[in-house]
Amino acid sequence: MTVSPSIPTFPGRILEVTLPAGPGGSPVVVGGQNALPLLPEGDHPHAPAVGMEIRTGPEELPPALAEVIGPFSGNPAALAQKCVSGWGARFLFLSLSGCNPDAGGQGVQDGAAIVREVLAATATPVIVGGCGDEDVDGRLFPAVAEAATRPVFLSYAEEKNYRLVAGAALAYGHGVVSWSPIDINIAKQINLLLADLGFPGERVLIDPLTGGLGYGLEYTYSIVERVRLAGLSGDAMLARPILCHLGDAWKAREASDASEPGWGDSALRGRRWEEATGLACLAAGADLLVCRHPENVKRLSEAAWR
Amino acid sequence: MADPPGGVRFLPEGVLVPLSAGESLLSHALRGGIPLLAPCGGESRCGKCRVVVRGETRGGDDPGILSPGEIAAGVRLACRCIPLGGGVVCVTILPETRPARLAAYIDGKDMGADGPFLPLVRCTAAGNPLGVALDLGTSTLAGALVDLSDGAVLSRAFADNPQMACGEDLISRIVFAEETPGGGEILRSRLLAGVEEVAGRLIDASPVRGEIADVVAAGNTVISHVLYGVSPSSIRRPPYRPVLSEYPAAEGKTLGIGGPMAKARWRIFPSLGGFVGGDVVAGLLASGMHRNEEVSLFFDVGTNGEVVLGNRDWRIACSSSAGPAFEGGEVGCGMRAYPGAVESVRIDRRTAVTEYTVIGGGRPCGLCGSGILDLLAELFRTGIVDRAGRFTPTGRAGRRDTERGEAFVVVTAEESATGRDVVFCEADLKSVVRTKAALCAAAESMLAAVGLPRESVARIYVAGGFGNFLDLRSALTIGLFPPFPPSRFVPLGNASLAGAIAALRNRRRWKEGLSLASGTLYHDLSSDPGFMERYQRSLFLPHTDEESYRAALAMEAGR
Repeated sequence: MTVSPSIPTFPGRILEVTLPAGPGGSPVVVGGQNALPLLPEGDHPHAPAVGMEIRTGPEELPPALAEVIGPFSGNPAALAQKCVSGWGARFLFLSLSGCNPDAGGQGVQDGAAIVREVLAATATPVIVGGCGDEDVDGRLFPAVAEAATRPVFLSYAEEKNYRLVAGAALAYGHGVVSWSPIDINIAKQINLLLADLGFPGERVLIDPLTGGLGYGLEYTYSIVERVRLAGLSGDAMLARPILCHLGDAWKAREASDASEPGWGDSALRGRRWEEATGLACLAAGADLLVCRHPENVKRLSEAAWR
Repeated sequence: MADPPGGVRFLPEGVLVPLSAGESLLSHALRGGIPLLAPCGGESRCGKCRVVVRGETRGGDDPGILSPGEIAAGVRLACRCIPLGGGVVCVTILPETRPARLAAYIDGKDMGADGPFLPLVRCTAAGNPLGVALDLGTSTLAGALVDLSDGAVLSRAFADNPQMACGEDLISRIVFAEETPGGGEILRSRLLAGVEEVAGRLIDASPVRGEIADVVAAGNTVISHVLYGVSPSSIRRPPYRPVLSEYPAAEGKTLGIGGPMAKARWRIFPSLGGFVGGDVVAGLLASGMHRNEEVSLFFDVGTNGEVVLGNRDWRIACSSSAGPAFEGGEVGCGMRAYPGAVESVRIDRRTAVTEYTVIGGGRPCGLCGSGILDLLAELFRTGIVDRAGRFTPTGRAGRRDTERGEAFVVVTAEESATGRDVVFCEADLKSVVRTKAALCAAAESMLAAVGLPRESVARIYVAGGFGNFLDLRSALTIGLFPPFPPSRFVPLGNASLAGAIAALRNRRRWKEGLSLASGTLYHDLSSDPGFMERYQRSLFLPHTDEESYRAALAMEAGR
């Protein structure tokens, strides 16, 4: 008697999304799968991609990051080149944190100029993040959308600002990252709102908000998994690639606190904290990971084997 | 336009209801969700359900209510007139047949009215024995006077609950009782004054004089406690249990009641839990869902928004804490269904100009529940409001800035009774969306609690004055209820009062009510782990699961 193994199949397929690159660069394509991650069955046309974050604002770097990206502080374009050619980042997440009134106070036009610089310095795909101040972001996104010399993704659109962000993206041909606070229903709602505006689904990524290890990662894990299962089960609004931003891992005390020698080498600890967070996101179904430590680009890319 | 064969088209709505052989026009109207006045419940007694009929019908003879001139003009009683097959019967609903929305508070349908007339009190020595049925609501007290010699309803009346001055909702009233010196006594004396006010109006309106021998009251748990002279404080604190769930019958005097009801024997409907009271038990009794084998859902769209799911073998009840948005509370321009309230709204997609109807036909001064429901549905349908309940920036026609933020002008100052614009702002939108989300999520939680799919629900009873007049299409457009096919909805009106009348008329129905209370499980939503997620899912227009709503509305459009 032969027993045929039961292979779970899903009716849905994740929408393929392309993060466009500049001339000579290689675009990042994610999505297209009809199965859960890291499993042998189904099609997985594109492996998850790992990118790096560049922050424009001043910040106190954790020890693990200070030694590697500290030297590039205040020079986003140089860091961008290093991320791509030196460390193998497949895309860049440019956080315009310097435009936040509480952090340095760069103007909106300064932010737009940095976007132009970074786009000129590298041909790799870029996602541009806001500064987190609702008021400033309201002016920043339109300025960035206009200034960007090639298509980028704007991060992020939520219920309060989606018209503005999506409007700017539509006008200049960019994509958007739809954000929700670890809630599958809000994730679907923001995507429905974008669809109502006529925003093309193949230019939308889902950011479910990633909590760092020990600081909400398990919530994120279950939401990423549920979003993916809903998408594969036929919910078109959730059948979209998921972006996990690992920045929160560095906010953990365990990842940055050098005053606890009993916890081991703080530099290694920080890197490992981000790596563990990223691995969990990959297992849950993330398609794009944004990390900060160069070595994690390599490690997570290796783990993202299909 | 060629109509499909076999149907009844109601004008001015233009809704086509498929023909159901042998059923009266009134039944067709109920099935189609067309509001029609029928205070006698379709028993051909009141002569209120007048319509103009064009098409083949029978049952045109009437019990001496219509004049020959009216009959010649095509006027018929909707409860008598039965459409015949082979064509579309056009039914124009006369303006006076539109329920005067005041009736919202006092009219209710009793779906289980089949028992014999068996009053508790047969006869007393002095005069005609009368009974009073009371529905003690958070904001309205309603009553009916019943002749206990034959069971006829002699008069109906209502009054504002004077406790409103002590707080709009139950919790704030408990707080009032606790924190104001003598607050408990104030709460009680105000309630008694209100009840006596209703009794006075009932007697004034009654054609028959007599002695009130029997009173049946249905009220929420807090009001029942206050009426019985027991502190409702425990309802406010964990584990949110009432002191009493049953209220032994007592003479009016011992409850502190003066006036004509002092000598009567008072029966108060038992409570299910802290926030599901005897009003729901009485409503269930009127709905008759406890006699059916098929599973039904019962909504009481009031201040609390109670939901009950079940059939004759089991029932489960909860309170959704929906809030009073559909009672006119929490909404800037909201008001109760009094004359001057906008009861239905349509918005022109192009110009954003509103068309509305007003209770009593005069100048409007605010919006009642059905008007608020319609308005939100129309704002959403015309794209003025997005799915998240926010105004869209495209084309600000019909909107202006107010001290409460951007607002949609429903009625301009020139047309309103108050001389000011009647406006609906974003905070109002959010409040209505939260209310509808709580109600919808409560129903979904009931289904989840017993593990039944939505398809297994055969009937949806909607109690509360609002339930009589809500536009089902609007309700489904904004997702007030889970996406059931519209044909399954049965509006009940003031079911609590109908249940109280039934218990007054027939002591077996009273016993039925008692067993309903002990046979219904109280489900506490605040400790239901899935409720918040369902609430979040519903906090959207119409719902995060919009596909199911589209399917339900498509079914509606197809009929």
